[in-house]
Amino acid sequence: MGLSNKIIPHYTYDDYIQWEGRWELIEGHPIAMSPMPIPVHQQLSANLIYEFKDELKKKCKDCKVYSPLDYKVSEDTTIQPDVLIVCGKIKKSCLDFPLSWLLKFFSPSTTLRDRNTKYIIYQEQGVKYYLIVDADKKVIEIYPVD
Amino acid sequence: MGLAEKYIPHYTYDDWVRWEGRWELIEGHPIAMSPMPVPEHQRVAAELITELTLALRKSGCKDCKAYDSIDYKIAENTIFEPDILIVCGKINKSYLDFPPAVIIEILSKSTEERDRGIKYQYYEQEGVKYYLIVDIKKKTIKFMN
Repeated sequence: MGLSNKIIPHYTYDDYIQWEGRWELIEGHPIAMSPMPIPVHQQLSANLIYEFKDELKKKCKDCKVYSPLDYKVSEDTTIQPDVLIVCGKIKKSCLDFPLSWLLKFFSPSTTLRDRNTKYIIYQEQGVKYYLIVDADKKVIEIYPVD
Repeated sequence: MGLAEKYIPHYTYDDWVRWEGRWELIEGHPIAMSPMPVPEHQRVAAELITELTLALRKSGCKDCKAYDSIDYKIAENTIFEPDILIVCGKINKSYLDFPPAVIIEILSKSTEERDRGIKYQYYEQEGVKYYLIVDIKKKTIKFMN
């Protein structure tokens, strides 16, 4: 029973902020995130944040580490990267300007979307580096976004 | 952009059951039910359920009961939460998986199009005996079939 655009709503940030649970919004579509990240991810996240903070403290006053944050790319696209490095002040309750570094934990169910759709979004937004962490394989893939 | 087209997941009952918050599912697409309906909507629902319950009791019907919104699983990828239902027969699961005798939807701005359109199509297709739409603004109740 093919569905028209009229039946499926095109959601925006104003809808997104009212939702309960862990969601992202890509081009108006709600995308369910996996339930709370597993302990291994939490540990890795904490370690990476520490390392980033340490480095930034020594070398840069402008950039700070965040984890995680609503990154409002546009009215109908808001994503939640796991770890972010943002240079510049965040004055609102979400990030709405391009950031420097963006980190995502790999999980089998999200991989296609994380690698493709989000890479394109980050590219368009001028994000400098996109990292995908695979906790199982103990590998971090670093993509300079050009 | 058309990015999402390639990568939007097609959700099923197994996904839906894990989500937090109130969601319906139409052919794999999540439909948000937040925020809660306005007080007037809830008041009308409460009054209708009361009337229906009393009427069923009076009629001596032991088999059919009136329900406040419950999850009606039509297919693996389609789950609705009608406002009011009359169900004849026992519901053994945490959701309804057979057509109820009566469904009543109370219209609201965000749901009206779907209530009149795709939900009507599905309820008819599934063999729901009576489908009623309540328009609080116009103070009308309409039988859709």
